[in-house]
Amino acid sequence: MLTAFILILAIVVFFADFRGMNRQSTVNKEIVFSSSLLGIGVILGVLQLFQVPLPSLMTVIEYVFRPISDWMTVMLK
Amino acid sequence: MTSTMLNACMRFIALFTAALLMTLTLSGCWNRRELNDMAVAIAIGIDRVDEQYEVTIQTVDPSQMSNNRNVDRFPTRIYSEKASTIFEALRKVTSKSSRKIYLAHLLLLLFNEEMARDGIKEPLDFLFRDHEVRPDFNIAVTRGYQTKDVLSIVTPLEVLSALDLYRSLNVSQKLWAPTAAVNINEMMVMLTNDGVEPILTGLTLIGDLNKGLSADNVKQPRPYLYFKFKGIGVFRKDRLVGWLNEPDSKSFSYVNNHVSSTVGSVQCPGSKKRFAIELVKSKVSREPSIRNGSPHMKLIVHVSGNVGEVQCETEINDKSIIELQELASEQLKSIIENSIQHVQSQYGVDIYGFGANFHQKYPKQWRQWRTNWNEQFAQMSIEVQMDYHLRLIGKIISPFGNNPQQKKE
Amino acid sequence: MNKTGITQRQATMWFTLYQLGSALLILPSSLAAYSKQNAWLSVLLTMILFIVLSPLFITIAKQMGDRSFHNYLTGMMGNVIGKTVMVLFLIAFPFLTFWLVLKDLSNFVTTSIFPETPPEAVHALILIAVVIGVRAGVTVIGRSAELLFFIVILLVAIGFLSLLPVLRFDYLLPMLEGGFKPIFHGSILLLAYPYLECVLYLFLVPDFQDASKWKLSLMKSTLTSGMIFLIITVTVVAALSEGVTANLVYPSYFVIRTISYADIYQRFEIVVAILWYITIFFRLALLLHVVTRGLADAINIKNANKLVIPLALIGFVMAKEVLPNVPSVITAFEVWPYYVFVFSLILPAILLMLGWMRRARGRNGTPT
Repeated sequence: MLTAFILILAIVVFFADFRGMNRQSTVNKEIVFSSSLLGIGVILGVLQLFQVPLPSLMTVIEYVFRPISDWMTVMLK
Repeated sequence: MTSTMLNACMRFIALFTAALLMTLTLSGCWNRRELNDMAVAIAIGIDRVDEQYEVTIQTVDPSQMSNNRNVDRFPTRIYSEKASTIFEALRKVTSKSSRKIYLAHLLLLLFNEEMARDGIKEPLDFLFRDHEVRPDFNIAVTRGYQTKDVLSIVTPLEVLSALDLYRSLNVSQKLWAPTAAVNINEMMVMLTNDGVEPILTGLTLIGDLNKGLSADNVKQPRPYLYFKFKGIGVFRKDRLVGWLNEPDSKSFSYVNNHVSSTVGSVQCPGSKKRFAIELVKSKVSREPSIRNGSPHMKLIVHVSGNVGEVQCETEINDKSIIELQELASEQLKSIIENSIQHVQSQYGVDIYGFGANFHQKYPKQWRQWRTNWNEQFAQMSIEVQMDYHLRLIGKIISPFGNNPQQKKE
Repeated sequence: MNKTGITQRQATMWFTLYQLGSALLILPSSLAAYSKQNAWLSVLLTMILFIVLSPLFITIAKQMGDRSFHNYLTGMMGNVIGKTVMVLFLIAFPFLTFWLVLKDLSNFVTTSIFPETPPEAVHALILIAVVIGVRAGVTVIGRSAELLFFIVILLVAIGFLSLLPVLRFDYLLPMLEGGFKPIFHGSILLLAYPYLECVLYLFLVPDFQDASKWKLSLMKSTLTSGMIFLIITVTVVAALSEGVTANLVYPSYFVIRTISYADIYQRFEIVVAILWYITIFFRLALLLHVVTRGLADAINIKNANKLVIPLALIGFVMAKEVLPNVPSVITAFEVWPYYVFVFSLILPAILLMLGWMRRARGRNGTPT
């Protein structure tokens, strides 16, 4: 619920920014990249609202680095 | 021109929407707590009843603490609930009370003796874990009575009985040694540290319980029922194993440097009468050492006291005061030695924290001893060395009315 | 023309607040779990290790000169590889840390202060402040660091010096029990979080009015925050004993809760929470600034401010996903140092070697 509010809020604020960008007719790149990043954010947010489990980077990190950590713990006992 | 105005308009609408959304959702309305939705708990008692916990809560009724109180209504309310965890019991209370219990002003936690013998670390876990509970309340064990009854009595000095109990415990720890005000911080340390075993003070009631539960208790100068802190309970790990009597409790306070001022009496030289000393400074330093591979502890007791009451027939001069000092010193030494021996032989539990001292000074040996430290403690040799000084004697020199032994010519 | 950037004093204060931010609340617990009562020795060892390792970063700063980190990276590694490494580095290190720090903050606030508040509210509130700060620029953040630094120091002093009467220094004995190994284990954690994140400060080198002042900022801030950590760790362990410290989730908050003198000087632990909020703000500001500036350079955009809001939104969403519960944070801490070493030791070492190789080739007359 709250996430939905924040998403809407972010889109609204971004819109204000967007108008500024459009007005100055600046580089297309800026508009493209910032909108696509916003799109990624909104999609992730909506996924989260629908309780879709998003992949977390930490599980990968934990998996890869756990052997090193265990080895160091044994070494430093 | 119009496009700028339109732009300004859009900006305004955007900002307004943003501000509105923010105030609606982020102003922290989730955790508001109205004062009249809270029942402030000042004491909790936990009894062991049929494998469950019976939790008794003493709460304050704030409107009865003000000047225009209704004399018929009492300022505290007692609620009692049974459940298998403390957390559940506290929430269950809302079925009887119109308010949620607020734990941040807790003054006192009481355990039933049966609960204490069963192990206190389980009920304490909730109080350690909850964020509302603060680490500044004291813990005690009730002897011979349920905590439900102890929390319901009407106390003579304060309107809130938990406040009376809390203050009495703190004051008596300072001024009369055989009690120990253990707060939850110290309990945590005693439970995790494997060189110390926990202790808790005992609380008992003296008098007629039925009369003490009503306001009649304080309607005349002598109350029918009053409370008394008595004895220090010895715990092994987290279970109560026994109680120390008064001299042993007193020397426990000495050895652990809890004493800030106390009074003791010693037998006069040459007669059965006694004289009283007020101790103003007491410090026991510990010197652990190893003799023949086993631990040995030397306690050096630095005590400084004043003569408070003399019933003896002697004159007080610089020779006799040395005599009194020797007698007092001998008595304190024997009290301390005997009590440590009592604890060693009767309970075999290191409540003084000697284990922690050995850990700090001899870590290598400690690693071997730590698994059965209580057995080591039970056989440890203790040496007590006294450094006792009597300094002041009060306003008068010799007791009035004594026959002068020798007149100075 | 005076380049609007950040003065050395402001940068020092910002870096100090950055380093305090992460470890103030959580680290005494992990340090005490590894090195027990010698946790303060871990702090000392960390400072020594950091001073030994700092030439790594100082040399890179010198080599960077006036270039931004991105230009330096592409100069070393070539355009395509440089940009790819940059983007991967940004997502994997500062952006991930951003999520973790947000999660830390909301965990703390919802555990200790507002249990019924959903974590999104905490995230959103602090992100609004961070977004405004980052869009305003480095100068503004530097100035606010200057202002808030003394408040933070004052609050730390009030909080921890009030504990002096109840400290028991025998809780710090025996020293060196178990030898150096546990102390070293603890110092690895402290080194990685927060000290080795100084590789992120390299992003700020071009903002200095004089690039050689960066080194001074770094050393001063490390020493200052190290001293503060030392005081805090000694105080916490001496007040609570190591067994209790290792078992508490937020030991510094708890230890300030125990202050109670004369029935009046008590119950001000929320002060520690405020100063943690301030330091977390500077942490989030630096991280978000690094990510936006780096990403903007990588895709060759002039104005990085346009990317701030989308990135903050992604951060807001991912902060909830990154770690599901508090015990997973505690276990993640065990592997986190080794992950950080990849980005903050291996990567700079590679960059240095490439730099030397290029210079050697340059000296041999081959044009680069």
